[in-house]
Amino acid sequence: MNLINTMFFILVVVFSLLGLAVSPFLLLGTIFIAAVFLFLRRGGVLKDQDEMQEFLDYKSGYYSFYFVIFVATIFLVIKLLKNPANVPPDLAVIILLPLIFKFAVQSFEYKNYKRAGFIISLLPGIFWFIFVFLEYISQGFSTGFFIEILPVLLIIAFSVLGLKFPRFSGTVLLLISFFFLFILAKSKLPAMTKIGVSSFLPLPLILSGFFYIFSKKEEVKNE
Amino acid sequence: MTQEELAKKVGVSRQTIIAIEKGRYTPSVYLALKISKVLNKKVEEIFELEGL
Repeated sequence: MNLINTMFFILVVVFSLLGLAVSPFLLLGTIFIAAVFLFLRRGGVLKDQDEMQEFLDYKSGYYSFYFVIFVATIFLVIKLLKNPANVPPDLAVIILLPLIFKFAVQSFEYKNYKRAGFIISLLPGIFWFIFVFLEYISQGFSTGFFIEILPVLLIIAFSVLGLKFPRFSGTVLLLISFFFLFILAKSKLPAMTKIGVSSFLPLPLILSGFFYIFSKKEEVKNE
Repeated sequence: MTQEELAKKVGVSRQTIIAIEKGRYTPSVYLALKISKVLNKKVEEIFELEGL
């Protein structure tokens, strides 16, 4: 890290701390400026790093990513042990959102849109299926189970169908995700819970939908 | 040629040249070729595979 970068990093930390103490808008502004700087650098506009500095930047970012998730997970587990019925949505967002986003970016960089679309939509589908299954296993499989399981099965079905008909499935998954977003927006849940639920289901489905729609014909044929 | 001169000619920092010399960083093929061109030597004369 050269002198200017070090100074910039120190300023970001100082202003972020000041923001925590003084005003959340100062914190937001600082992080925004840091993000703009990062995008200019990654977009090739700002060429102030050689390849080793870039490599170290990625490497440190990678370790920081998992460190933050690890710390958030410890806090989440402590809170869940105290109150198992209450999942803290802010911590769930901190853990879930970066993981989904990382996977999406990685798939995007790898340019295997179809596979990305498949995994991103299938995982929440399976997770939700297990969740509903476990909920009803104790109380018996009533009509409610089949009503609740239907959208899950739809998601899983279109996720799998996407391997054969990516554009069609992608469009349907997008529509399903917009439907969920609409329901969420209308609900009276706290804002953080809405973001938490969005990062669990509609967001992966939106990403998956776009990945499927933009997957190339050749890519579909070759696999 | 000093580390500083080499760094300037291939467009990296002196720290990167030091890291390459000490084996702490493996340069990309592109940078390795640039270094070999500036030093007027073949790549395999400057870099070698370890453990093979």
